[in-house]
Amino acid sequence: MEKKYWKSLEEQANLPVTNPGQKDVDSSRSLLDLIDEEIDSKPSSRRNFLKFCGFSFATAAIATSCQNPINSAIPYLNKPEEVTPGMANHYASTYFDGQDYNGILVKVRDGRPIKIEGNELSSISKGATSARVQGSVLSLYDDGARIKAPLMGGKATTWNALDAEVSTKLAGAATSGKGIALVTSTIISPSTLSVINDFKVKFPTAKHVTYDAVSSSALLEANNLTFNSQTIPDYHFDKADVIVSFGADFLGTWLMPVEFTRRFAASRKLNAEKRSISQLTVFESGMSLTGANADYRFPIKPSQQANVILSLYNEIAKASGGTTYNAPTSAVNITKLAEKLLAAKGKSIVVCGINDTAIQVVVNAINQMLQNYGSTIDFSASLNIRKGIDQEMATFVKELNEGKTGVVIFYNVNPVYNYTDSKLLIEGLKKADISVSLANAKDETSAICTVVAPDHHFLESWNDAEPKEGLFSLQQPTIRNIYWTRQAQDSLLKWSGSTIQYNAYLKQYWQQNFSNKQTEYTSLDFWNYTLQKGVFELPNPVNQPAFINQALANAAQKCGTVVTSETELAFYETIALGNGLHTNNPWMMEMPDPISKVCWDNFAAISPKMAEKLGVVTGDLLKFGNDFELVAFIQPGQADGTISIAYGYGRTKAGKVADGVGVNVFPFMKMEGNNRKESLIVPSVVKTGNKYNLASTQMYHSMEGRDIVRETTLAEWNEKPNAGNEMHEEAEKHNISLYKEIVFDGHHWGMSIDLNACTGCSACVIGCQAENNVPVVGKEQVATTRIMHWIRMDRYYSEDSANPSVYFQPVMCQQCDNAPCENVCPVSATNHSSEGLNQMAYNRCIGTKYCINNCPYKVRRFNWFRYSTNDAFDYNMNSDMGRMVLNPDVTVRERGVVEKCSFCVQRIQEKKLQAKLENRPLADGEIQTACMQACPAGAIIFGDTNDKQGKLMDLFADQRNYNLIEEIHTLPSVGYLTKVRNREKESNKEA
Amino acid sequence: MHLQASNKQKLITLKLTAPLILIMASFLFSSVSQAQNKGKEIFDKNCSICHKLTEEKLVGPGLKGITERRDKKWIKKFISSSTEMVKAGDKTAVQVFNENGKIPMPDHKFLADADLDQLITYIETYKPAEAKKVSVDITKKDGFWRDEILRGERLFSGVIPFEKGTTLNCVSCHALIATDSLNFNPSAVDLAQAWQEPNGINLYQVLSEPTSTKMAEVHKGLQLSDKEIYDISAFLSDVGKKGMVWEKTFPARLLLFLFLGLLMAWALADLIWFRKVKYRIIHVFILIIGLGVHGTLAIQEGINLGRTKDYMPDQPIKFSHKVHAGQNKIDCQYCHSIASYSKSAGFPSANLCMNCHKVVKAGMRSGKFEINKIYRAVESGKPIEWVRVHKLPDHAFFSHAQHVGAGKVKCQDCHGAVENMDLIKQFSDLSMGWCVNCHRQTEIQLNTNKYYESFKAIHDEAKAGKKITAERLGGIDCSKCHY
Repeated sequence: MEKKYWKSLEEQANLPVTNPGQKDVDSSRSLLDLIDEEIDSKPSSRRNFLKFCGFSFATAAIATSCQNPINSAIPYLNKPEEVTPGMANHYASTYFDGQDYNGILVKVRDGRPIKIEGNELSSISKGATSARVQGSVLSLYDDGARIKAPLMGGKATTWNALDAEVSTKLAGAATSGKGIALVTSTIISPSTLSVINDFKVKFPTAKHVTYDAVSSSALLEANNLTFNSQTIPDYHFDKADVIVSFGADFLGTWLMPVEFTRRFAASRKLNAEKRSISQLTVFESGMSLTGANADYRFPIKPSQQANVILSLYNEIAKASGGTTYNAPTSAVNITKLAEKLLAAKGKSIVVCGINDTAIQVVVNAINQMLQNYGSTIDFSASLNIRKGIDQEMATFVKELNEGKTGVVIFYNVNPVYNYTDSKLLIEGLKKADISVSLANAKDETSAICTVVAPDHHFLESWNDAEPKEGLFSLQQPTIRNIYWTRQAQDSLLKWSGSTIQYNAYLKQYWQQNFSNKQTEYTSLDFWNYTLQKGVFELPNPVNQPAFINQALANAAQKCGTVVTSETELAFYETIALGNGLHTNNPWMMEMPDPISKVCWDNFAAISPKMAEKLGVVTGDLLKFGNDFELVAFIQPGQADGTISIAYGYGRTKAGKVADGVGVNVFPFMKMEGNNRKESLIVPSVVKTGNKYNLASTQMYHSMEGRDIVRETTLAEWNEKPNAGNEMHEEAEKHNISLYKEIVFDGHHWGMSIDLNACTGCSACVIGCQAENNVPVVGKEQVATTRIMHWIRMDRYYSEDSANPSVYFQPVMCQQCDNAPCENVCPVSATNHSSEGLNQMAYNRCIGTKYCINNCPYKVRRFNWFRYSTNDAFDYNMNSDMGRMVLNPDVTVRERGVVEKCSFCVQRIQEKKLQAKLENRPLADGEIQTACMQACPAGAIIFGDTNDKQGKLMDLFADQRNYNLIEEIHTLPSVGYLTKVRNREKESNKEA
Repeated sequence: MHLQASNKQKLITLKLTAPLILIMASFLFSSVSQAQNKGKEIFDKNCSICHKLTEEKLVGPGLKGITERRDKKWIKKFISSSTEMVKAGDKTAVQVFNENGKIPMPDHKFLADADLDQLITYIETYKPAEAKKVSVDITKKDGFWRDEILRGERLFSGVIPFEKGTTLNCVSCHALIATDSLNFNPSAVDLAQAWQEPNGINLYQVLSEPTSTKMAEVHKGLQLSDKEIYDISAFLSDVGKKGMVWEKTFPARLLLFLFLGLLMAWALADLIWFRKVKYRIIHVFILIIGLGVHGTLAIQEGINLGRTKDYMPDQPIKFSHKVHAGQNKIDCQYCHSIASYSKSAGFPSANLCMNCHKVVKAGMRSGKFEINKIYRAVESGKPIEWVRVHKLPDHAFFSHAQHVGAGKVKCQDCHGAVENMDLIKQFSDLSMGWCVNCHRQTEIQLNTNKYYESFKAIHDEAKAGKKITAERLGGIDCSKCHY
């Protein structure tokens, strides 16, 4: 292959790779000499021999007098009807953390929720999840961070005392006419909104402030200006042929990433019938997941976006007869892009993630001219998420400081951490009579609130949700509250003087509002069936508000006058941590970022060119003005003159995982106009001369430049179905062995991964971690290449480092039928099963690690330490509460053994058994591995290769199918489908 | 240990027979009103489940003053065939039927007229036991003097005879040592705990008026003075605190091991330094035998490490599988109901026990004492802590559903003849070799289970007359059980 693929800049430049945590061994002397010296330095061997003898006699003596411990078995006094010890129940529920919605199924085993899956009945998730949703089950058991009892003045109190105090203060504020502020995240629950309404009726001075740490305020405002509708429409990426994104990471963090990923992936899948895919063009500063999946990507400064958008507008307006506006020359030539958009009128989408009203107005105008509203962009099923208006929060903080507010109640928000001017907020809170936090876990806001009325975790709560107009979803408790907490809605109801419990309230609300809108069930059945299914949908009337041109001229003029500067900072949300709500979750903290492959830190991503100019390498500390210091990370594809920094780090009161990791950049956001701006002009960036180690999984598991990722362009593929995959035929030809071929006449498991559908979102990584009890090892261990994830998301770059093409490839154990690991194991701890699995018997493993060395895919992991009940690894597996999340069907591995992906053999066995018990053959697609089930893109398909009619064999027969490093004849059971990009040439240069 | 247990049982039987003969003898010359006794017996056996002798209603009405309310003849008729009376439209009978939730009273036609007379006399003359006057503090459950405890111990173990002269001693039935595994009487600790807990049994009442027929029978002739009961309670308070004494096993293997170790050390020392023994063959002989025994011991113990074949621990309730599964022929899966579809077989919850024991209130051998423990658990909300017998290590996955549900394996194949076991004993060693052997020999449900339909090659083999065992389909793959 001519094209060079590389995983890091060192590799591209052929420099030696240095691992930050690695200690160098003196390379001038041979290892054997070192061992000899060590033996010589030990005392005489005869004495040692006698010691060993003594030891073995003593062991034998102890063995003769050993006794087994007495175990008790304690059955229920009254067995609940639906609970069967040893079998899991699945409850349909809802995940909503204030930002992301997901219809979920919660797997509950013996009373403990242990795994979250997507609800296939939900039209939003359709069984898909994100990494954060997968990880959210762990926060239920966060013993260190969960608030265990109501607090007053930082001390534990009783709910009665707390209610008395809050009620007095509320009554006081009501009589004195002082304001009451209820600051919440976006609330998508109609019943909760009704509770808040009741609260406002009881306390007329109460005001409900919706606050989103990272908001869509400008988009809402722009829609209000141009459509007179302050809502966010739904974006149908599956119906679009041309997609353009200006800094909107819709595959990673923007609005509804799970649904958008599903839709985008649907538009990118290819088969014999579907022979075209959408084209994605991305303009952005830092490399985002969406940018990495783009067909064409343009790294530009945040300040250049306005110009580019306006030029694109002008170009389209010219062609479709609209008004054009004065614009400076665009940083990028967008003529070709405009042509493509115009050619795909009504079948394109332009999205923009910049929190600036003027820009959003122009983008709306573009979409209007392209006739996208009503076809790809739909106002009928508008989204109810991210409803926060930045100005509302600013007004609240101002009023608070004026002493106008008597009572402040925070629900599901942490503004002390993530508000731009948190100092002002803290000052203001001192002026209030009482500040109440309804947090369920410790955070910076609850730390300074006078009263904390801890909420249940969402897995302990009743609730409902309406993420989209007309789509309803129910949430039910899957475990009784572990700590002495009370659901926030119950607290509000109690303080409003109501005696009804929230679950009764919810039921009543549904009976009154939804039960009569359906005819399928009787009123009582309706509740039960909806609770069982988790979702309920009502048809929406078609609603396409008319476009109002008025604001455009003003907006265009603003866009035309944006000044750029030399160095600009751009803030972004990471896939794992988002706005910082999940920072204390060790699974999320240790999830390598799909792009940078760094975990346990945020960093200043700078472009290679800028790094050269500043004389900076990855690991150098940079000082930003007088504000903060942060470690530099050279990010290929970073727009020159920009520095990207992630939100969500720098927490101080979140718990032992999150505290003190990275730098909090929320305080550096600035209000501009009505909105908080997510980019900023930096006065100066100076290299301090100090170093800092970043833990990255980047260079490890490198595949050393072989054609691991195979790719082609759409045109080539249409001409030749095996384009880019010519090697496969060659490898098949040499598929000859001296050994007798093994026959698998029962099942033979296999997996197909569509590289075109995979976006690299890493939901599979966390899904696997949750299913298979994969331990968290901490930053230091990650830095020494000891991360334990069974599935890793490999990311490769190609072409030049200023703007490379990016490739993602999930790699787990390939379950080779000719496995190199198996024949080097001296104790046969890893061998081949009759179903084609490369099985691993932990108890037989003696830890020689030969298999690890002999595995060409580097998918085997070694337990260097005992990761459970070990204070050195003080994460979830070190507390009784944290271990509750462990899957009882999967062994927790001991120190000194090798482990790896098992193809979720416990799930295979479970489904096989189910089929046997039901006296029927196993159905195709019935067995889902954890990664397959978590994947929002449907990129992973698991099945039986002996089932010739199965979906898997269809995919294996596809000419795009190839195996990793197939030329060495390992015969993997995992196949990959060649990546097909919708480009003219194999480059992302021209649009 | 288990052999010892059965030996002990023989011993107990001997000890028990002596007093029993005495009791039988005394029974013949008993001067207590036989009619009274017969009436009580009939009542306890047939009526007490639904009726109380006070005014309190149970299932049927309380019977206090029944002879004043109703004619005796009517009562007799009603007892023998109430349903017919209701059918015939007897006014009072219909009224009684309606007042009691229309639950028909079963007919008792088997009771002779004389029986009914005795029964009615018993009901008529029944007087609730008056609070007995006692000369000692009967509320005291703790804080006894040392000499009271000591005297209690001697009385309990029969060292000092009781004043009213009987050769019965307590310890022969109410054991003090834990390995006494086949004794269905409550142990001394059991008694102590049942007496000491809040609302526990009333020791004074129980000892002077036994609560069940079985108990009355065994304790017949036992008349204790108040002081004696007081001293025994002193002893029980002490026992309750100390708990069960575990019988020490003689460490024969360890002593053999040490003795041979010392002998070998001496032989070695003599060989090298002292040279007292002339013939070297003796040293060599000692060393060979010693090392051989040591090695064998080490291998045996090593193999058995973590294995618990024949493990038969005492359970908190003297539950007998022989009585339930054997004599009463209750299906295993009535209690272990989830075995056919869940990973675990499931320990029955207390409410399942109550399905039967709501009615069956006394056992043949243990009287009410053991069954009372279920009631106590249900009432107090404190679940029963059984001692687990079969336990596989955590790294081995085992599913009952696979074996019982899919594989149609009989429970007895792995658990032994449970229906003949009073106390559950681990029948198989549950070692991996044992698992694998069975997987090699057991045929799969190839033709009866549609799951195997698609396995053409295997069906062909079967048609050719080959035996298709679990092994043929990966039954001994590591990842069948270890993941």
